[in-house]
Amino acid sequence: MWKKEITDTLKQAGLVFSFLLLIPAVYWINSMRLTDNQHFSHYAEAGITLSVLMLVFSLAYMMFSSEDSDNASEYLKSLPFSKWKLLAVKILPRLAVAWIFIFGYCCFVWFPPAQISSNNALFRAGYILDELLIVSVIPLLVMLSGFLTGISDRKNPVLLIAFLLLTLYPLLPGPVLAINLFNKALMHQGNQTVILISIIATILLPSIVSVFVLIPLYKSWDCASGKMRSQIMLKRMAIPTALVTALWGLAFTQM
Amino acid sequence: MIQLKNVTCGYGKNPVQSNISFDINDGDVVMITGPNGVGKSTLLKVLANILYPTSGTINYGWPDIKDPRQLIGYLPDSLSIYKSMKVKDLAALHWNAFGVKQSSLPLLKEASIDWNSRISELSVGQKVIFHLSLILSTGPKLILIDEILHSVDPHLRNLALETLVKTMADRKPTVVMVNLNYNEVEHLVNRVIFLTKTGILLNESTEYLLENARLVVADEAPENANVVASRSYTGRTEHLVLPGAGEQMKLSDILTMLMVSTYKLQ
Repeated sequence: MWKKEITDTLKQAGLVFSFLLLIPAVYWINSMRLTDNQHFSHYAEAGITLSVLMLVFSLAYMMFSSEDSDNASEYLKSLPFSKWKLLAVKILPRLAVAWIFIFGYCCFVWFPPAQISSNNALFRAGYILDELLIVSVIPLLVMLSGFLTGISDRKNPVLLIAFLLLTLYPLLPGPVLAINLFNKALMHQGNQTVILISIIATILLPSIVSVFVLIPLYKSWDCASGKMRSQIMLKRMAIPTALVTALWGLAFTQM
Repeated sequence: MIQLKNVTCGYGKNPVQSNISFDINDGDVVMITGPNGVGKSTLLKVLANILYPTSGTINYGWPDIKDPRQLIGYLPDSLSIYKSMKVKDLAALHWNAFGVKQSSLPLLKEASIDWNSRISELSVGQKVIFHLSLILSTGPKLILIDEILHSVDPHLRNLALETLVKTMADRKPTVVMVNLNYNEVEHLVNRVIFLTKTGILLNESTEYLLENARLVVADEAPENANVVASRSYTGRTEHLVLPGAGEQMKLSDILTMLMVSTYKLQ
């Protein structure tokens, strides 16, 4: 099973990275078309950023694509693998590939922490922590979401939107809310450890809690219809998703 | 012995079968039959431990086995298998999952299946034979087969049934098959469970059925006899009595009559 999943992961990753071949093509077309074309490194950075994002989300979304296209879900369930082993077999190879590429991306493309201009040690620590969390936790959340949509109905658009809101929360509105919280805490000269914990909680807790409410559903995963399971999933996720959506709204007002 | 106690199963809120209970003795070859849509395949999935019953329990009688699927070979009706994989790769995956050390599948050569070919390149019959040989290769104590042999050509079907008979003779596994083609398997089974929408209509050994089921041809149902089915057929009215006096019947005729009668009641 590991061999199959690793092969599938590498094939899917290869497919995503084949889009990188478009970068020189787009650059070449633009240099013919535009007089003030940007340097190739700008194109490369944008292309790599987009590819890494596409990689994480497509690996998660296509986690059960072979079961879907081969109609092999019943066969998979008939194998004497525990649910936890299946979770590991499905998630770990994809997570490893995602982490490797994100780490590489952070090293070469993303701003290293040393470039942060702030002299505030707490802010710098918070930034590094945030960066580490984004690198490690978001792919994990995305993979868990991919697994959960895979065992239900990954073609259900409402379910996909709900998972996107949850998994992208720590990347976009989470840090905005955390920085505001940090600024308010600085004004009131609060305890630094408490501030750090609050920042982490603000960034991560809403998404983690939302995914964790689905654990009972994962435990009862059998070969019953995925569409039915997705309906139950949406009911369970309704309140956490509504809260996270409200936090998205709040973050937009604070931007 | 496998025991099902008050099992309710189905998909969603509406159960397909409610509160059904029956036992299957070790080494039994059971045919589950009945009209379409009564939950035969659903029940087989429950037995395969891939669909959890809404309520009720299943005791496989294997106290030392943590995961019953370890000893179950399930051949579904949907050709559910990784078709994009190569025969050898899926075989390796399967053996690895069941923790068995094997290196070949005996049926492949007879079914002209190339070890290196992709499963998607095989014919439907070859896919079924491959899947069957795969599940038999792990030495299951419980073999579950869901109708799929109907889609196989006569040569491959014979091959599959012969292999099954040989496996039953060698290893004495318990076999449960969902079947609507009675002629083909009537000599294989020793118990019949006839399902209807309201539950189990009949759960008897084939020996008992052949000894006691009788056909009575009469316009009116015979009095003082347990008439289990009646039908009008080729201009005459027939009644199936169990037990009773009358013409002796083949198992396939008994089940066909039950089927016709059940449809009339629905």
